[in-house]
Amino acid sequence: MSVSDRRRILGPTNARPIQFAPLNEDSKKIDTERKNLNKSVFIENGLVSNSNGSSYLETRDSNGIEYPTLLLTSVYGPRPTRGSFNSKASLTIQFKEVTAENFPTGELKELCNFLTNIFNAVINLAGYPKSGIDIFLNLIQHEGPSGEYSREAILPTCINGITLALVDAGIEIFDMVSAGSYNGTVVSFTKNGEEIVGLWKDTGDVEDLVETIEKCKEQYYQNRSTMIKYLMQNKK
Amino acid sequence: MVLSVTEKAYLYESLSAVPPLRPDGRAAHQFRPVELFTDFLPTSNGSSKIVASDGSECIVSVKAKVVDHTVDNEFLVVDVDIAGHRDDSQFVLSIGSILTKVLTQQLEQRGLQLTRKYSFKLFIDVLVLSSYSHPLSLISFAIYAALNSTYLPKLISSDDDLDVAELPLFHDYDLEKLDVRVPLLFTVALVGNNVLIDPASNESDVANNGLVVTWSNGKIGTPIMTIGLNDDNVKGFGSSHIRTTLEMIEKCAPQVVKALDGI
Amino acid sequence: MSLLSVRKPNKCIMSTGTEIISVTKRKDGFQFVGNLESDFESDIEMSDSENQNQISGEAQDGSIVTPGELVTDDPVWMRGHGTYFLENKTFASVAGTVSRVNRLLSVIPLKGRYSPETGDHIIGRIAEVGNRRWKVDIGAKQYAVLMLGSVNLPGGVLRRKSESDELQMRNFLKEGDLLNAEVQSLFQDGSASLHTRSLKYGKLRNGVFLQVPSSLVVRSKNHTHNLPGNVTIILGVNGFIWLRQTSEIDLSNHGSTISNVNVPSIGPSTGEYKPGQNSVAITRLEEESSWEIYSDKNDPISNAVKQTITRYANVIRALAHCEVGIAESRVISAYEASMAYDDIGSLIEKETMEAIGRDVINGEKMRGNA
Repeated sequence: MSVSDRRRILGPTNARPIQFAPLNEDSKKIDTERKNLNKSVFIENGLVSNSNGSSYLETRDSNGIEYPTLLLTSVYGPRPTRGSFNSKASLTIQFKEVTAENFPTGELKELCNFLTNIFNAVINLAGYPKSGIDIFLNLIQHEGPSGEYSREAILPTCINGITLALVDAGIEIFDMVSAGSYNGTVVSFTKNGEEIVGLWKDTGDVEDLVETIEKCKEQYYQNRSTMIKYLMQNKK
Repeated sequence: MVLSVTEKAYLYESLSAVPPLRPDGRAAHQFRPVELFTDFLPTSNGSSKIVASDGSECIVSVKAKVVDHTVDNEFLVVDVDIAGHRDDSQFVLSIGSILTKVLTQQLEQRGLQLTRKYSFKLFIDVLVLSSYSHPLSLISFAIYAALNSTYLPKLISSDDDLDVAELPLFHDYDLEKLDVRVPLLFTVALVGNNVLIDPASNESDVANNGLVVTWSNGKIGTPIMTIGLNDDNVKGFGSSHIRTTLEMIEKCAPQVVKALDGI
Repeated sequence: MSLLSVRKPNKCIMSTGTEIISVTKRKDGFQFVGNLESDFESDIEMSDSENQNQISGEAQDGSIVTPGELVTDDPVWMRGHGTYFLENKTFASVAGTVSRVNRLLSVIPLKGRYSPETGDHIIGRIAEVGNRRWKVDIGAKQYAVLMLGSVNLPGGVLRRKSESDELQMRNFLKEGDLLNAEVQSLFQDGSASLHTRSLKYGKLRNGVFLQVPSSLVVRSKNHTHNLPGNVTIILGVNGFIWLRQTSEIDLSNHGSTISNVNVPSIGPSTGEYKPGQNSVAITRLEEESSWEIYSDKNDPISNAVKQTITRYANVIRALAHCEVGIAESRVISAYEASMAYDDIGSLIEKETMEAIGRDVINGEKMRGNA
């Protein structure tokens, strides 16, 4: 009686573990070029070919490459909806963590709710009657500065990602919405920082809220100009 | 309910006027009257039912369990059930998430600690029987009333059990009032340049945006966040709105706390 | 069970009324009607009276019956709504009052959804736009139907409805729009067919909507009233109410609908009621049936009028809270009673609402018409 291990697939006897070749100089150069191009963000639009528009963002901490956030956003629509008549498009946003699940479900839904509310204000929904716009966010990797997962760190990236994906999809939006975060607070602006479309403060003191908003606004300007710069470059 | 174009225009115009003319004549900082019932569920440690004047109704039950807090450091579980919404819907889950966050952040865990090893773990079950406007604020009032009418068994064994392993012993019928400071959540609607507290359903339908503000320990706390009150009238707002909101909450909240406590 | 009866309702009502929030506290979570023990007693009494009924076999016209109660054992009666027939006896299937019209016996429920009748002046909200028809929510069991052919369209009353009208139905009335209309006829299943072929019917503008139980609105000849303070009320029979700023048409209609005298050239005024009868000359109707009747724009409304409308809305809610029937005279006297309260926002408090309800009823008793 042979006692063979049937519970796992053993593979051929002459199999060897996979080994990666050392990186060649060229690819390293591209990486540094990317880094030099923009210190904190790497943007690429239109990676998801079956969607109507998509964006891929790599956000790095300004001091290095230790804590990258990788986010892939895809936009589907406007596509026809079934059922009752709607004079405005309906927007749904879904957030998914691809590699590891670190956020509780309720928190993810809260996040989607928050993002939906922001983009309800920004997308020209009245321009697309009887249709639906679906946005899917895929968080590929994220690690906060202290190794923990914080909404504060990913929310601005999500907002930037959706804005870029919407531009890529050619969906009408009123403004390039973006956001900044500071001290546990995420604030999303439009109209050159004059209007707030989203505010989320989870922790910290309320006393200096106005100051915090100003700090977020600075980041908003930075993020927005980066996005606009990318779009202009990409056009050529 | 879907409002007609002219109804919305009438409402928006009235609500954004200075001073705002609310459809039921309330002032911007005036709440709708509520009716409170407490301590009526015999199998719960604390319970409350709140009935708003528009017929919205919410029941909260608080139950407690003794746990080893060195093993289970989650001292609070909030479960939300809203009639007419699926339990796994975005709406219900995000309300549950906000409540869990607020209560874990603002409740003092020390108040639940029994011994150096054991403490009470609270199970707060929220059931919204009917709601017409955003139920968050109403739920938080109900939780406030329920937690403030919660009585837990009185400990009679020693509270130092690190050296001597013993299970906590309770008095047969003596109960102690749970002494915790419960946060409150307020929702405001932003319409035009106005900030309106406790928006009714028709007011929510024309609101440009909404804000949720937490009040705990006699001052404004976190989280503070924007919240969607409708899908098709959402707009941005200025930072002056935030200032007005915070000022209004600072003025109203002590009175709300007094009204909820003083009965 | 013992828990329920041991615990007395013990209503320790304390209210801390401030100008910001009023919280009323009750001790028990659920309200019981009176004392349970006395309920049992009255239950026995009731079965006694039921026995007596069964002996006499009759429930008088207008008497109140509960489901399962014998209404009559005389098989000659035709059985209408709210009754069922078992072994040659007629029983009630709803709680309500017995009504006998000729040989038709029915029980009219005390509460319940609105049930439309031909000729009712109602207010509805468009729920669906369909094939040549609108589905209208009138608070009844089923949606009412408003056919494209039953509305006035821009460009004259008597023109044929063309295909282009069919394609732009949503430009006339769309989902959420409010309109007042008359019940033209009833279908076999009890759902209503509406029409708006009169200038007093159509899309509603310049005001606010509120809803009261339909049982509180009494059917009468006229449901549109011009109230003091430049406000017009439409009291839909289905309990839907519209309060708006009085328009010129309201003013010109007012005299005619009340007295029915200055109706020019519409034929001999027999005083007989016909569905669709209106008080405006055909020529004028044609003039005014322009796109304006489907306008989605409000006229400019002053804050004073808006405040008056809000006050009316609040006193109507107060009347509904007190379960007082709602009629023009009552609305006006409640409005006058509410003037004692300067702040309109204070009218949402329960005590204030009850005080107004009492004032209205007492006022009627004083005048001797209650």
